[in-house]
Amino acid sequence: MIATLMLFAGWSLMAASQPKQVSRIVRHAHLSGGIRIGMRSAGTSLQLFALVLLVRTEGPSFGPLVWACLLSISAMAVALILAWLPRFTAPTLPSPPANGSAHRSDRPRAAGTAIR
Amino acid sequence: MEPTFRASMNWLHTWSGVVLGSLLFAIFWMGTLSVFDKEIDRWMMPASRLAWPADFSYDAMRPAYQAALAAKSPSVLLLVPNERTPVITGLWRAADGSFAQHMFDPRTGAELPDQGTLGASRFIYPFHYSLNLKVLGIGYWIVGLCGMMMMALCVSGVVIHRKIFTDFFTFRPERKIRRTMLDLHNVAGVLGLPFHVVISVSGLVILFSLYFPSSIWAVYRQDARLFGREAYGTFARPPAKRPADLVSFDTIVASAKSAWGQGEPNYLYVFNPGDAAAYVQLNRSSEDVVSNISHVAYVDGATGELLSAGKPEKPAAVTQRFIAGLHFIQFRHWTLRWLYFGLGLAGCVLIATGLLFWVESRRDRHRTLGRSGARVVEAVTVASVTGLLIATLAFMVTNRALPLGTSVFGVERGVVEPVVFHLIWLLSLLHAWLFAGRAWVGQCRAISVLAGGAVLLNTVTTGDHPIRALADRQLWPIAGIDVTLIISAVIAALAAIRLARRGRAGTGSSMEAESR
Repeated sequence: MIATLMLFAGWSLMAASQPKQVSRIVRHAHLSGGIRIGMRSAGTSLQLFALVLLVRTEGPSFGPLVWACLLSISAMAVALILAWLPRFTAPTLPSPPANGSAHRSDRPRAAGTAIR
Repeated sequence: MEPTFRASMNWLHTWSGVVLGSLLFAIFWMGTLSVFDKEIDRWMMPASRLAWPADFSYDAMRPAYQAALAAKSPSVLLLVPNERTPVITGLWRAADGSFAQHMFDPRTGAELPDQGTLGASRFIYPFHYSLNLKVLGIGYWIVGLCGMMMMALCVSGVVIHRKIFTDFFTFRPERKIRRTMLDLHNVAGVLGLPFHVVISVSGLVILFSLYFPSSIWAVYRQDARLFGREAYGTFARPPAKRPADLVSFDTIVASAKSAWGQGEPNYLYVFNPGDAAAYVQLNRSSEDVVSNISHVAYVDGATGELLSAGKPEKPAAVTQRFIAGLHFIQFRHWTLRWLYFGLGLAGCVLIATGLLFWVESRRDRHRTLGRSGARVVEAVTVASVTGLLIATLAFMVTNRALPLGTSVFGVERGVVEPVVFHLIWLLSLLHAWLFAGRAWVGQCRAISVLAGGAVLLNTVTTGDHPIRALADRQLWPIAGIDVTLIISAVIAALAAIRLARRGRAGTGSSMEAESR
C-alpha cells in the first residue's frame, strides 16, 4: 500500500511538472524550469524508493514484477484523475483570452457544459 | 511505399490494427478472464466450492487412481488440490478411447458429480491461446500471428506517437468522441506499454517449439523425445506386464521432495498404472516463484524409490521458464493477479479504442462517398467488443439457467454452453450490422441485463448470494466473480444511458440543422 502511494505520488509530481497538465487545473499556472526539474527528480526518486521497498518486502523475484505492474496502474490512475479533476476546478479557472492561446484546445470547459 | 519512416509505421499501425484488432481483442479478453479461470470454474461448478483442507493427505488421491485403474487407462494425471482449486482433478483416457475429467473431494476422496460444463479452464483459457480451433493447429498459428502483430503495433505505435511525453497523462473525456478515443488509446497504450510488450513476447516464447521448430529440428531432427529427455530430463520405461499395487501417495511425494527440497507437487502423473513397472512423474508447484519452474522427479510406483530427478536446466531453458512464468501466473500472489487483470482490461481498452478511432475518423467521409468500409469495421468492432462480452455472459448464464443433467434437443449442457456462446456472438454481429451506430446502446443494455441476471441466477440456483459469499472465506472466489459482474452491470448500464443521451442529442442537433 505504501509502495502504491509512493508510485502514485511520484507520477502525480511528474504530471504536475508538465505545464500542459497543470494548466488544466491550477489558475495562472507557471512553473520555473528549476521547479519542474525538482518535481521530476522527486517523482523519479519516489518511484525508485517504491522499487526498493517492494524488493525488500516481496523479494527480488516478485518485487520488480509488482513494481512494474503498479507503475502502469498508478500512472493510469493519475491520468484518469487528471481527466475528471478539471470538472471540479474549472469554475476557478481564468476565462480564455479573446485572441486565444496555444493551449486553448486543451483547456476544459466548465462543469455541466463538458459534453453536448 | 510511404514517403517517410513515420508514415510507413502509421500505415502499418493503422491497417494491421484494423485487420487483426478484433481477433486481438478476443485473445486479450479471454486472456484477461483466464487470470481468474479457476475462480470462474468454481462459479460454474457449484459442487467444487469446497474448503481446501490444510492437513491434506496425498493418499486422498487413491480413490481417483483406483477409478482410472478400473477404466484400464494407460496413464492417469492427478492434479493436486490447492487454494484456488480445492478439488482433486483426475484426467485419464477410458477404454473406449474417450478422454474424461473427474473431480474428487480432497477430504474424503469421494468422486464429485460431473458438473456438465467446460468451465473457464476448458473453454475460455484454450480460446485465449488457440481460439478453440484445434484442426491442424490453425488456432495456435493465428494467435501467434496476432502476438507478432501486437509487438509490431506496440513498436509502430511508439514511433507514430508524436507527443509521447507531452501527452503522457492526457485524457480529455470532455472533448469530441474521436479525440477522446485517441486519448484513451494513447493512455492505455503508453502507460501499459511494458505489460503489453511483455505479455505478447512471453506468449510467443511459451509456444516457441511450435513457432520456431527449426531450432529443435536442426539439432534433434524428428526425434522430439530426445529433445524432451535432454531439455527437460523426461523418463520413460515400458510396462512389465506383471500386476502390482502403487505404494502410498504420501511416500511417493516424500521421495520426490527429497530431490527438489521444499515445495509441494502440483501434479502426479502415473504411467503404467497397476503394473510392476508403474512410475510416477511429479512436478514441483510454481506457487512461490515467478518462473514456471520444472523440477520434475520420477518415482518408482511399486517401491517408492526415486528413479530420476531433473538436472538443473541450462540458462536458455531457465530464461524460457521465467518468461513463460510471467505469462502463466501460476504463482500464489493475489495482488499481482488483480494487477494482471486490470492491465489485461487496459489492453482490451487499447484495442477497442484503436478500432473506434478508425471508425470515428472515417464514418462521415465513407458515408458521403458511399463506401461501406467504416460501417463494416464498426459492425465488426461492436460484435468483437460488446458482442464478445455478451457471448461470454451468455455462456455463464446458460450454465446457471440450465439445471445440471438437462439437455437441449438431446445435447448436454457442456455442449450447449459453447454453442450458445458462438450463436450469441454471431447474433451480436447481425445486430451490429442492422443497427449500425445505435447497436452500442442495445448491446450495453444486454451486457447490463446479462451480468445482473448471472448474479441473480447464481443466487437462486446455489443460494450463494454475494453477501453470503463475502462472509464465507471459502466462497470468496464466488464473491469476486459476483461483485465483478455487478460492477460490470452498473458500468454497462451507465454507458448505455450516456450513449443513448448522446445519440438523442446528436439526432436533435442534426434535425435542427436540417430545419434551418
